[in-house]
Amino acid sequence: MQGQAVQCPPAQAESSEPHLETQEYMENAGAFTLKDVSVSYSGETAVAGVSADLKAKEVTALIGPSGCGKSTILRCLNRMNDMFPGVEVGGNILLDGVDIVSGGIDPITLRMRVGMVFQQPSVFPLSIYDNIAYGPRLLGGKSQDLDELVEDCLRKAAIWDEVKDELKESALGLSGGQQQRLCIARALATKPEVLLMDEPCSALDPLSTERIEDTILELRGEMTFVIVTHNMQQAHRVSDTTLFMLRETMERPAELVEYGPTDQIFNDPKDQRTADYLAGAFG
Amino acid sequence: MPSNLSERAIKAKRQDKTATVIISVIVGFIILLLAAIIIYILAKGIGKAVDPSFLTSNPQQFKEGGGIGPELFNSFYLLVITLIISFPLSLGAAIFLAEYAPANAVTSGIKTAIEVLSSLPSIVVGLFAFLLFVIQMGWGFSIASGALALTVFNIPLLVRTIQQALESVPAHQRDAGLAMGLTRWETTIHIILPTAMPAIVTGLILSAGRVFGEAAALIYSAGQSAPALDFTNFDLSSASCPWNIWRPAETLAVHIWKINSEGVVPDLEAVSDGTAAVLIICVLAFNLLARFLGKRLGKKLTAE
Ligand SMILES: Nc1ncnc2c1ncn2[C@@H]1O[C@H](COP(=O)(O)OP(=O)(O)OP(=O)(O)O)[C@@H](O)[C@H]1O
Ligand SMILES: [Mg+2]
Repeated sequence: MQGQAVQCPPAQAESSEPHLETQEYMENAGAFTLKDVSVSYSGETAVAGVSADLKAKEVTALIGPSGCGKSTILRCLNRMNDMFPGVEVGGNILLDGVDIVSGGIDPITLRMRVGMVFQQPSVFPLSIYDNIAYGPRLLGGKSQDLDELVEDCLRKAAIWDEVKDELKESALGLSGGQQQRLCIARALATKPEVLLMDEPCSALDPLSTERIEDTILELRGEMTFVIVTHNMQQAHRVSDTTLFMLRETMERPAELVEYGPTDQIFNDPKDQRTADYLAGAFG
Repeated sequence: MPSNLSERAIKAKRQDKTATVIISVIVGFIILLLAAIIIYILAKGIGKAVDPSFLTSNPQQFKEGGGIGPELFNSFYLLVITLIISFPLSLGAAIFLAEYAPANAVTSGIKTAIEVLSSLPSIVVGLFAFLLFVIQMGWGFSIASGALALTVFNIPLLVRTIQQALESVPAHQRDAGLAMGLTRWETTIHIILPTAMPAIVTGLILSAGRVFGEAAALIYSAGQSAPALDFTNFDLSSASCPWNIWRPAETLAVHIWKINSEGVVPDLEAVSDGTAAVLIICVLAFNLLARFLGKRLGKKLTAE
């Protein structure tokens, strides 16, 4: 009796989810392939020789000590580096086979497909509803669909229950953890294939962190996640694949030391430097 | 150890007390001075300033009992026109400087030019306006000339406050907009500007107070005469039409200067004191309004 009650609802819920069809249809959308990627700031190379596959619909974690270029690599994936003058990206970054470095896609379109959540919760000075509806409205969404979309995104980001009665209130009145989940909901609203997260939980309390991790695990399979984190337990908990980066001296650019299935990286790293870093980080 | 520590604590406390006393005395002195000036001006002029007939009637050339009706209207009208011209220009310039300008020689040239302009004495701005607008363009002493002079005077200040307001918007707001697939323009208009709005409105109203009290820039541009105004006259070419921007328009501040330097009316001191009181009440009102609106907007933005 009890066993049934526990097992049945999730199975039912899953089969009734409307997004399952779209998931099949875009089975392999949102895969990144990095080939010998390097980034230089005003002529000084910060990261070099990064080659890796970021699998579609999986969670990839980027770990490594401060300054090893995690954010730099992440910002390449939606071309946020374009904003800094003097940044040059070398090598190839393919999103579903299209090179985004050489300009196979314009940055505006790219950023609609590849969303981003930042370290600081960056809600807009608008109502909660408008924060989410903003992007879709620009894309020409109809208002009755918008209500549904807003609810859907807020539910996915696990914040619907807390804000459903105050959708018209300013988003700046929310707590930091709520704001960050709102940012995730907002990023989901343009239906991106990939969601980039740069230390999304570093400003949050453990409870909010847990909820965001739950959200990632729930949406995994629907979209690709690339997450930068300094929290090794977090990387271990949420990711399928882990990339370990390191900049050994400031004279040399940072490099990708190794990458592979998260379990293998954490339990049986091939490179001694990875083992040392993880031992230090956990110790 | 404990005795050592408590000795240190006592010493620190004493220093703290001394510093507090010194700072309080200085601040108290400044506040007293400012309050004394304001109270003196108000006390001398308030009798006239609250008299409706003084506020609405025309000034007199030779007799006593003249009012400041046209001057009061001119001050506000000139202010509105100045802001209509200078706000969009300043906003555009500030957006360019804060959001778009590449860090190169041209940009730093513009920034230097704005700084130089802001430190220009206002009488120089007035004489420049006299040569260019009044003489060269042939506009004569007019609201148009005066408004452009005040625009020159107001733009540097306004550009700087708006630019600071835009730059104080946290960078992650900007990043979030761009990361969502907004263009730079959309990010600026829909995210940066609303966030900076309380500071922009405060800056705008404070600059209005400054413009309102300006005299030197207007003496040779908007002129020193205030033709009687007829509010039923909508003939935009007539000198008595209030809305005609080609008529000369003496303002409150210029009026004070004028009666004190060449006035012959017997009650000139009373008129001058009353005008000064009206002027200072208006400027105070601008300041209070700026605070109130800034707070209101800020609150609306952050919650409730
Ligand atoms: N805008 C920039 N201009 C110049 N150099 C930069 C810029 N951003 C990053 N760098 C350089 O690139 C290198 C990698 O920086 P990055 O921010 O990617 O590191 P990170 O791994 O994200 O570090 P952290 O964990 O502290 O966030 C650093 O040496 C840094 O000095
Ligand atoms: Mg970083």
